[in-house]
Amino acid sequence: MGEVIVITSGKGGVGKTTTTANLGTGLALLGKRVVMVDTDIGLRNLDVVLGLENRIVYDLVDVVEGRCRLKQALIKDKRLENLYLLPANQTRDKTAVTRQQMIDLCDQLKEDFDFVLIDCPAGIEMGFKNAIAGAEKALVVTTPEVAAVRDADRIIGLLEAAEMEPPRLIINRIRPDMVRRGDMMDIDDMLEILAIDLLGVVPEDELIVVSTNKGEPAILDKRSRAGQAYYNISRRLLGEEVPLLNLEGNEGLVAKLKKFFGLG
Amino acid sequence: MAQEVVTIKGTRQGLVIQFKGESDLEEIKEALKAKLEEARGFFRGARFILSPSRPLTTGEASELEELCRHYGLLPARETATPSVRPASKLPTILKELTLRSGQELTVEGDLVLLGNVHRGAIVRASGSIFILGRLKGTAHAGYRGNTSAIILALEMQPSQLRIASTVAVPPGPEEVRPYPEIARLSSGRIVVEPYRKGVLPQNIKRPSPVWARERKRPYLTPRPHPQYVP
Repeated sequence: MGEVIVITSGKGGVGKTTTTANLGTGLALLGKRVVMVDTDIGLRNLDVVLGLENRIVYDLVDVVEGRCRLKQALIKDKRLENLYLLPANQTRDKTAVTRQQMIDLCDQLKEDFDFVLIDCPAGIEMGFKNAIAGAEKALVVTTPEVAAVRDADRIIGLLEAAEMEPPRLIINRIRPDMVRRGDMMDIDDMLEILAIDLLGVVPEDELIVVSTNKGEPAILDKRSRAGQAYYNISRRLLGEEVPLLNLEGNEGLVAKLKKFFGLG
Repeated sequence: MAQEVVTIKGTRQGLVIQFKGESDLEEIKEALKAKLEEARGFFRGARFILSPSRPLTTGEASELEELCRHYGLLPARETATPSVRPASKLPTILKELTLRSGQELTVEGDLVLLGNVHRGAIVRASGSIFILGRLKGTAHAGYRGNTSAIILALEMQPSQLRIASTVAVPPGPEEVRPYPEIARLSSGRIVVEPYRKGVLPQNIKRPSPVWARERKRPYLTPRPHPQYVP
């Protein structure tokens, strides 16, 4: 029996979809059977980030409305054997599925998979309620911005009200140089405000943009520091103790020298 | 045995009719009727005042008064009974929780909150509010009009303070003052001052709380966060 984990944030654009794609890929790299479910009906993105857009025939709404069997809608990843995607519908909206349908779907999926990762839409309305309906655990993604942290706080409150396990935090797009100058909230500030456990910190990384556009999760790119961070988070999800990434090493002397000699 | 819904006490100023618990109007009326019926006109001509344990709407109050009048009781001026102060009847409610953005807590009575009030959260009490934690959201004491209500927090960084119908916004930028503070109404304005002046003399450097020290430490070496759970 697998676990169902929802990846949520409240605010849009903080990296829910990127996180889902990378953690899904990371867990699959670590040998787990993983399915990612895109619940952002009407605004699907996860398929694009994974580079699986052109393989979609059936989607989540087709499954819950019985137009196809669940197995038919699951898209196998290009690169990894044990990674699957259940894409969202692009023509309907969030009202196309109900909470009960999501619960049934998650129950069905966790029979077959070790991990069911649910990519939650932004907002706190029906899409959010559907996305968390079938989940047992939650990961809250935030960026070091006041607005994102405030929304994360709201989301954590809603998750607590829904009687889920205490969610864990992923801090995305942190810039150590700005934190050092005091221009950006640091990790302690955010943990102070949100008062939940930290699962990982992902540094800002240009390679994320590149990888997202190419449809290849950054975790597969050895040079990507964000990818490395996501790999560590995947390992932590499996219960390993992995220390936080050395964010300061980002532009250290060695890295600069390596770059200079074309090795970076 | 369950508490009686209605008790009638004789005082020098007249009869004090108390209602216990969170009973609804019908229940109170029923119990009151039974009491007066039982007294068989003993109370006829006596002055009375109502002393509810929860606030009554004007409609409810007048219905109950009407019932008393029917049995020959006469309403007393409430000002004539200084021994009965509704404020002192308010219960103290203890809550242990964290209020996150978007969450609200409203209580009838004085509130003792063990936990923090985050930005975007609201805590309301008809009496005073004592926050044994950090107040970053909005607190509204005496929200039914009690101007003697106060707000106390171990760390006072509110987005807004309200007492009765007065609203105050903290001046200037957010700062951490690591000592308890108390907000009260003073000649129509909300004033905030350290709880008990003189507890922390001005010439002694105030110790900064642990978390404030921690945040100043630069991130030079990676370290697993103590809160990290594998």
